[in-house]
Amino acid sequence: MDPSEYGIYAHKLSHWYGDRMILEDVDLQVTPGEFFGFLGRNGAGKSTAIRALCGFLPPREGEIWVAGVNVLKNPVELRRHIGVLSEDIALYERLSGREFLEFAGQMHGLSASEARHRAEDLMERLELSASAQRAIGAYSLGMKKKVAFAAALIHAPRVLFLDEPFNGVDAASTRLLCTLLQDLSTERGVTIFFTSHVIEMAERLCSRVAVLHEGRIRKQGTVAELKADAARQGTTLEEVFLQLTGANTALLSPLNWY
Amino acid sequence: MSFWKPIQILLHVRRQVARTKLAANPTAALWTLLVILLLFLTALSMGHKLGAHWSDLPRTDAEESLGGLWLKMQAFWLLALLFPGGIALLGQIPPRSTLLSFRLRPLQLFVAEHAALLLDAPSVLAFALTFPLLCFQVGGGQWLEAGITLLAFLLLGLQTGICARLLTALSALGARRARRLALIPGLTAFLLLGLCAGMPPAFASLTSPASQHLLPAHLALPAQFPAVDLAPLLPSRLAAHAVMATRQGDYWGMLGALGSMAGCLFLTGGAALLALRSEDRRWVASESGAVAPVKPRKPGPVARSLSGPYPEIAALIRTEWHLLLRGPQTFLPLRKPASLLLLGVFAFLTPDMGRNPIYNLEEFLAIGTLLYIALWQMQFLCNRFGNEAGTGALLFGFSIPRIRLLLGKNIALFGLLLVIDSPLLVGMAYVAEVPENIGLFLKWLPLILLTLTSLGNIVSVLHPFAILKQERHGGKEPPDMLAGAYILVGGATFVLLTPIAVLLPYGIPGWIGAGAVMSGLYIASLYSSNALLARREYNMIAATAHFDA
Repeated sequence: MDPSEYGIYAHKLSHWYGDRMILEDVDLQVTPGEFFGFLGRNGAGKSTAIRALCGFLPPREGEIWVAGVNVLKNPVELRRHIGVLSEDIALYERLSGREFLEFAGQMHGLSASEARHRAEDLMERLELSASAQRAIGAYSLGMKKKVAFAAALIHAPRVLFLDEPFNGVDAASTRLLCTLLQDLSTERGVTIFFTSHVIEMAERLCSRVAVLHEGRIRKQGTVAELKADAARQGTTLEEVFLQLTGANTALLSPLNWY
Repeated sequence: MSFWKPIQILLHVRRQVARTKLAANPTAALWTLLVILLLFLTALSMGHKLGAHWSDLPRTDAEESLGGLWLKMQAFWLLALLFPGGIALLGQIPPRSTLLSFRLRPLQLFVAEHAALLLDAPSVLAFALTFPLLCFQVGGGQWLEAGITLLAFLLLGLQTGICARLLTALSALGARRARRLALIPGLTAFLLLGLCAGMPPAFASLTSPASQHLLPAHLALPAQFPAVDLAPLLPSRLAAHAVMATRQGDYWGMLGALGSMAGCLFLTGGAALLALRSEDRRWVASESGAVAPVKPRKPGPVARSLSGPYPEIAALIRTEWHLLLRGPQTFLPLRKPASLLLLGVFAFLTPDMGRNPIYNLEEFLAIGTLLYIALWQMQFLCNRFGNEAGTGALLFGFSIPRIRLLLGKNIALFGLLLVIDSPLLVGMAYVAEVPENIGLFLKWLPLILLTLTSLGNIVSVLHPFAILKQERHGGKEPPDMLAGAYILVGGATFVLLTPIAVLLPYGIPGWIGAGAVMSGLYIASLYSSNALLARREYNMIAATAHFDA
């Protein structure tokens, strides 16, 4: 398959700061419409990988194609085809939720009326209508996440990058977002690249996952394959994940001074 | 627990915060301290002028001078306390919600807040204005007069602190939208006030022969610029009256003035307590979830006036205006070490141009206000992607062609500065008594702004000026020291404005010629900054999103 035919394609992706290796020879092939989970512990390099895949950070080495666009050559063109929800949400806090979504839509080239229509629809679906006129600065973390999520969707991108999308979001809203994402993936053919350190969430949503540890991919495959591996070892998927990411089980002992 | 214990704890926390700030960025803290020292010395020299002439001044002039000095001191002290980006050194005043969680009694809360509010740099600077007078009074053996001066100063300080708290509480109680709407005229009024208060004496002293400064008659106010007739009931005037009455041995007059001040203080304090109680009730209600749910409103009409062939440019302009006009105090450059340094050096080097003991303060206010406006505008012009307070990288996540991004930002800022600067120029022309030049000023203003916009485009993509970053709880000071960049940009502006200076005397043909040159310059800057941005976009994203590239 040609790199431009993949939803996301990365080959020998590496990045480092000084002596510190952040990503090392990361290879990814995500087909269009796939719901791909990128798992790893805090500091594994997930956010750096997302920045590189979205064209926000030039990797030191490697080749990246997303939605048929060479990321390193056409980063501005790429923005038209992707939606990004980063872990550190940056929103204009002095705008209201509605104003921000309309702005995001228009900045992607939608007409004012189309941007407004889509903003209304998204706010209603994400249960933000009651707070649509309030400044984003007054929103809770979960509401900010939902606004950022809506802004990533408003231009109907072909690929969605979601970095820890459920952090700070309540259970009902998480369910809402999950349903929406599954529909986008299965019905609309949207490629979804999703990072998390919560194994259950990936198990529930993703068709395929990769486990990243210290900048290297330790395991890649379908959830069923990983589960089968775990079953062969007589353990759970969570334990496989903990093994792959080098979790120190000695730290699980109780505090004897408490 | 004793009455003072919680207050001590709060002050201790404040000291810890200051210590952490100092440890986090010692260079910036050191520069800020140096600037405060410069301003302190300037304030001392201004106070010294009044103190040195104090015994020679006739009663009316002395009272007017002291009253005027204290009025300005109170006004600027109040402003320093009110603006989040003011010159507070130790850090933000603890939020009301934090104080309420200590379960303090209302009076303890009141005292703690005032102590936290007043123990800071603005108080030190205010005291420096009065301190020399106290020294001269003590040196002259006028112990009672010195005591009354100190008492009057303390009462004024207390009233300033209470006024600041009252205004903050009232603004918290007021509607968000009303507060937002009040900020712009408030800020403009403050700038105009600075100009109007300082411009006549500054112009008078600049245009008067230097030899006049040596004559004893200088101590009197000049006839062509009469002193503002201050209302006798103003606390500053009452304070000055109390001091003068002591000097004249009129103790009943002194007691009357002090009593009136105490009355003022009591009224302000009562109003502040009432406002604070309402604020507390509101906070407690919001914590317990008793606040009425926000009723969804009908969406307003889409602003079609700005929709054009490029919806992204229209959206960008509209959003840029929203960001700049909602909470303009966020962008005050006064706390930045670089601008403070420039202002401090300027204040220290201001020559003695005054003919009245308090004139130097007014000159400083006039020229300082102009310098301040220039710094404020330079900051915006030289950081097109900083107006979003640390979220500039968001813009690079859109697929809008970068030249349109620059164009939209330019149009928005050019329009905004034109709207702000035009009335300022008109006001200045009237104050400086040259209304016949208003037409000339307004005709050339767009060309000057176009030149500054051109220069700002290049600086914005090469070495953007720092603007306050957004944080969950208030802004964070940018650590960069940019005094050198300010000076370089100032020099470049001077060079780029040469065609305007050369063509100014040629009337309309000169304006057309200068317009052609400046338009060419702007187009060149737009395309060059676009090309630079294409090469530096990753760096810009890393800088505005605050991660390592």
